[in-house]
Amino acid sequence: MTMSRRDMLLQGCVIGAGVIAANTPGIVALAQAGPKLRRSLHGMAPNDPILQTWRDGVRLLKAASGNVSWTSFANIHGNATDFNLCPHGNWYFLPWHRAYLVSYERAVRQLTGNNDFALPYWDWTEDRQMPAAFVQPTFNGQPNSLFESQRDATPTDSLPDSTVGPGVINQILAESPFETFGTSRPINGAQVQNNLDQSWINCEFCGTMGTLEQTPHNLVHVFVGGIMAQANSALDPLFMMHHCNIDRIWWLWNQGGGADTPDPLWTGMTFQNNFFNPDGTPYSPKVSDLLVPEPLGYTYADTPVTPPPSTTPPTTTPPTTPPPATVAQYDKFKSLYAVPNLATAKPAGVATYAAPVTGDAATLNKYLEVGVDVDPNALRTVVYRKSAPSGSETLSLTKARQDYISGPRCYAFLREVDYTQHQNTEYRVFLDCDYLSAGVPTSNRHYVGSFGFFGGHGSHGGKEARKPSIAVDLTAACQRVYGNATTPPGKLRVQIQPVPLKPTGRAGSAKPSRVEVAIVGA
Amino acid sequence: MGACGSWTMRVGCALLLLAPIGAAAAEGDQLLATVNKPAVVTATPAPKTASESQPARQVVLSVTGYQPPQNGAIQGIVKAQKPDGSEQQIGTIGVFPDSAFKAESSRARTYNFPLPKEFEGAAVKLKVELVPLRGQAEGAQLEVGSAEIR
Repeated sequence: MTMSRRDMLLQGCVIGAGVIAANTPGIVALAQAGPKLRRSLHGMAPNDPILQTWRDGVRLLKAASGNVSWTSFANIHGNATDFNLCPHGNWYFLPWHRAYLVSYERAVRQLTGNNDFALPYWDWTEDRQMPAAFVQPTFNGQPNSLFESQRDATPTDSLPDSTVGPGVINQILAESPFETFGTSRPINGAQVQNNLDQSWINCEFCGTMGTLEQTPHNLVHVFVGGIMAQANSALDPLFMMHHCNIDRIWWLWNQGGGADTPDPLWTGMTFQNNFFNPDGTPYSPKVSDLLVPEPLGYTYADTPVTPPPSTTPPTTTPPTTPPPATVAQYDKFKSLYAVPNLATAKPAGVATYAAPVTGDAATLNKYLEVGVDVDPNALRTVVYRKSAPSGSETLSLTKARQDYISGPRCYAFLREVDYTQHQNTEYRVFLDCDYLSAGVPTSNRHYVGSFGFFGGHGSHGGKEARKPSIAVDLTAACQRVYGNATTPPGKLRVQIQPVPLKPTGRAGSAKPSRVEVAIVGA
Repeated sequence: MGACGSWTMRVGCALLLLAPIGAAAAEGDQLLATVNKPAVVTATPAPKTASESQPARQVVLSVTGYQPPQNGAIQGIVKAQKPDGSEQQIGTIGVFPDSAFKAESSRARTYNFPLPKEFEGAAVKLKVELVPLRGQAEGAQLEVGSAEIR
């Protein structure tokens, strides 16, 4: 489980687990990944390097045979009469298709030699007609590998608001919990899924579809028609661009605070031998491997704080430069993560508070609570700030980033966490919950987020082991918990409640050395 | 299983005659939707357990049969009827793959929609209209199995 991924991404980091300054191997791997940006097809020039690479990649895959080939990959999804391995109408729909797209992305990088390639997405909320690059039979006098003759839609047919309009997107982004947003777990006859057998993945339409799958996903397939309307739809090169937008909406939902289900029947499912690596060997990810795009090699976070220098003339519209006020706000956020102790460092523009942790470690049977005294007037600016926009406006991450970062925010830093038996443990963070126990769900308004640990707690590379620190964004929880009070409190009660990931397993413990709170002003 | 030997069938197989399942129909319900005539189904609140104290907020609609259009594409617009006779759209559904099927109730396609607050507490009449998404979309049929408020 992750929290504050949106914060991490807004700062240009690739850390997906809310863990900072740690010695765990996963952090090293993430830092070296260098995820590539998936860009919108909107406004993309026909000769854009990304489009050209996709054109070349599709052509090469179509010419290939064996496991890594166009036909082989398409057969994974389905044939002319039925689905094969792909789940539809159950809760594996989103993660399975994420892994499926990743397999294409990696294959194209390998085949074309362009390691900067990332699949572009068709943002049909903005572009209601099929993208121009996919509807021309030829390109530069050669057959266009992105064209598919077996489509029913014409280049001038347009998707309506009832399928992809603002009302639909608003509804999707507001849906909760995950099994409503992302389609529910399968039920086969009277049997609700109760194990991790592979057959549950392909229990087609055994769950209840949410708006994302039943409306834009299904209807864009049907709108394009022809092969795209059938189980062998992955034969159409437009399929991947459509599904990239579905994937991106999942990511946007997470960024807006949508929490993926922690249910181990979901997170623990392995898509065994479902996909291929670029070398033709099986790629068998687990759902828990697929929750954050960056470790998979791609990202949707578009505008970096400092755009990288470019040595070649751009062929498309350059990324938008944030206004100076936004850049200044970024710098405040960066300062939060650049110092080991906020209380002594006191970054400019940030009100900081801290409290040592003197109680016992948090365990399954007894949560840990740390009260941090804060200035209620500073907290007031966070509690009563205007909420960030939701809906189709946030599909522009540039605007969402600027709106998000321009308002006051409140963070807690759990420093130097000493933890035990982490392998089966989700550590949940709550704010001011008087009735907290392991049974309080993550849909509770006091819930802030969760963290976990992977990798060893021992030394790394011969150096002394360091205890990791965790950052959590308290802003939304402060608004929910204190929003109805006339005066916010002068003390924030930050709580940690460990719960087991597998119900039959044990949960570990956690105890930070201190808790720091930072209130970042507008 | 249908005449074409698979529970999902290509467009172009013999047209199915979708016979509505009557067991879930309330009085006045019309469970078969065509382009010219919507389906009308009553969504009733599901029985609550002792631990469920929150008001129901979702409508779950099951579709037990579908015949794609002979040309074009179709979408299902779902509306809830208010006591004063006016309607409020609560969602849109699509059938993918766009192939004919006839499912038993246990393998119906189920869709869920948020239920606006003003509809909470009582049974709700739902209208499912088949509206062309592309082209004329003639010949499409959609059979509603049941609707429930959870």
